[in-house]
Amino acid sequence: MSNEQLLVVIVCALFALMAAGNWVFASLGLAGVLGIWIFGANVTTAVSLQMWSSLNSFVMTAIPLFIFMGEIMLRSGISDSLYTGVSAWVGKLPGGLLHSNIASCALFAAISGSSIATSATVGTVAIPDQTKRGYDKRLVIGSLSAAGTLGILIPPSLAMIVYGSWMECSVAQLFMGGVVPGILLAVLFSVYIAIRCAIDPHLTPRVESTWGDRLHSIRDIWPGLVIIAFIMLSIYLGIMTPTETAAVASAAALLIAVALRKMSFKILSDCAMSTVRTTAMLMLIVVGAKIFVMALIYLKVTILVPGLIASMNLSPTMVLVVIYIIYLVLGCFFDGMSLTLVTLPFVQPIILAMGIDPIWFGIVMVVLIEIGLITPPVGMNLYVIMGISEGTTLGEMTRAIMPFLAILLLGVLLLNVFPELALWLPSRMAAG
Amino acid sequence: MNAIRQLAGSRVVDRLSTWVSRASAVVLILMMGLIVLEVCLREIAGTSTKVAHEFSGYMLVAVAVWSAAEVMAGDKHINVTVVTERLRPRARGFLQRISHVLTLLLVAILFVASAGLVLHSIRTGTVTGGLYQIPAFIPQLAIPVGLFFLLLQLFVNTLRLFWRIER
Repeated sequence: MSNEQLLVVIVCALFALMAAGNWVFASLGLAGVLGIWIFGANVTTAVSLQMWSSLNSFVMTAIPLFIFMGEIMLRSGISDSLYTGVSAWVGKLPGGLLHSNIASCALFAAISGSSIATSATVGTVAIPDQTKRGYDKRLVIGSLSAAGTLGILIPPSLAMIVYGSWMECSVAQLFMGGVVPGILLAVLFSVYIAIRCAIDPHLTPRVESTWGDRLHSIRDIWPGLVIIAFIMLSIYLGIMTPTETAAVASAAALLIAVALRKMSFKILSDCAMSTVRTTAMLMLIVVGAKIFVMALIYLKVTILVPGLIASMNLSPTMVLVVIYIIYLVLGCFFDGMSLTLVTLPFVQPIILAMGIDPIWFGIVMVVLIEIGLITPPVGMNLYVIMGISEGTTLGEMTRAIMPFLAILLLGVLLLNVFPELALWLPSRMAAG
Repeated sequence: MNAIRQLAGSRVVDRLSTWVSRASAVVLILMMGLIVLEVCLREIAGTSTKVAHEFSGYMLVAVAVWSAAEVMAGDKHINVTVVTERLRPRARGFLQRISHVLTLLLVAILFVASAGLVLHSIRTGTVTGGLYQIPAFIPQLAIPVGLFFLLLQLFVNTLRLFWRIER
């Protein structure tokens, strides 16, 4: 069997296993073991070294630590206070509290590294409140689903840590690369809401807030803002690595929660247990993906795939368009982390062969994954918001999300036309 | 056979998985403490633990693998259900059994491979590349330990599936 035929066999095996409902880590691992075995290499030696090298990584240590910090902020109630505090500042704009959804998600995204956590946290507080006030349901659920996706674009981002570790590029630069596109998308979401509500003011009742309310709200916002400022500055100024930032920010969040009397041993234990569970889920997929990649290396995919692309005589723009379409289609069926790890083994050699900046591509890829998060039938954020907003059907969710989906696609277009959006801030960093 | 059926019906293995997961939660907090200590020593005293980067990597191994069994106990590992949820319950159940058996096979291979790595490190006297050059098998041991509990939990889950034992 030629290498090309073997490649087709293991890729088909991978998708068949996943379609059959097998766990993603097991599907990747089994397809990888099958490939290594058919190739005739020593399976146990190859697998043991891949497991050890993929798990024993200082860069990846940032993953559980950022999750832990998000858990502390969430379970101690600090992140809930963010929504209440932000509402006093943005409630007067056309669209009222819908802007709180966007701003709170953007702020929580700067604490959490996960889109699902962002949507769930803000949605749990915002949906009952805004439903009671008579806000247009479609705008409420649409804005929350879409703004929740900012969780993986605005640093810290779990997807960027995995991407950076895989592509061997600076996670700190990736984090900074996500800041401008993240803020831009948040602004575009808010502009859309403002225009929509200015045209049809009945969609949202106005919220009155005084300067007294705003000043009072600082008490709710400051713990979150302190952590966000610390993370951004320490990475931007190169004071600490992302992993060190994650550890110190977790400890700071813990100290703030204790100082505010919002922490108990039970809460700390729940935070730690939830963190290790999420870490195990993610890291086992990383192990599976590394075993799968081992099979691809034996099959010389790093030479095969760029060769195949070259034989098609496609321009670099067309190659990128094809990659985007693949991400958009697969994004309908895979969750973000699985999509990253399933596609990177194939995309990495193409990106490197074409000389594309891996930092820029990483940011574009994260926006594409964001689109996948709100694309039916598997968009995870849709289900999170559906779970919170009782009685909402997938059809309603799909209609609600369409304008925001268009804004995210516009974001991809802007990143292609103006790559500086993703590259300017990393180029200004004190240390790479 | 009766003993195995009893084991599958009881919560002993699930409890074991939870305890191993609790151990990994303790390791997580130690890992955070170690890195914070490193940053404080560097920024305040201008010195270093010299082991924080190396040891936190080893701790990540334990955090990642030791909780896998508890995640399996709660059936929380990520899978794609877009196809299977459209199937009839009988077909779905059939695919679920096949998935469990194949995953059992994979985890068994991973367990044997990781145990082999540990034995190889003991036999050859391999040490880590860090400052203290500790025997490599000590951090490597975290993988087969975690995988053993994952294998056990998966085995029990598979039996429950075949014997239709409700948890």
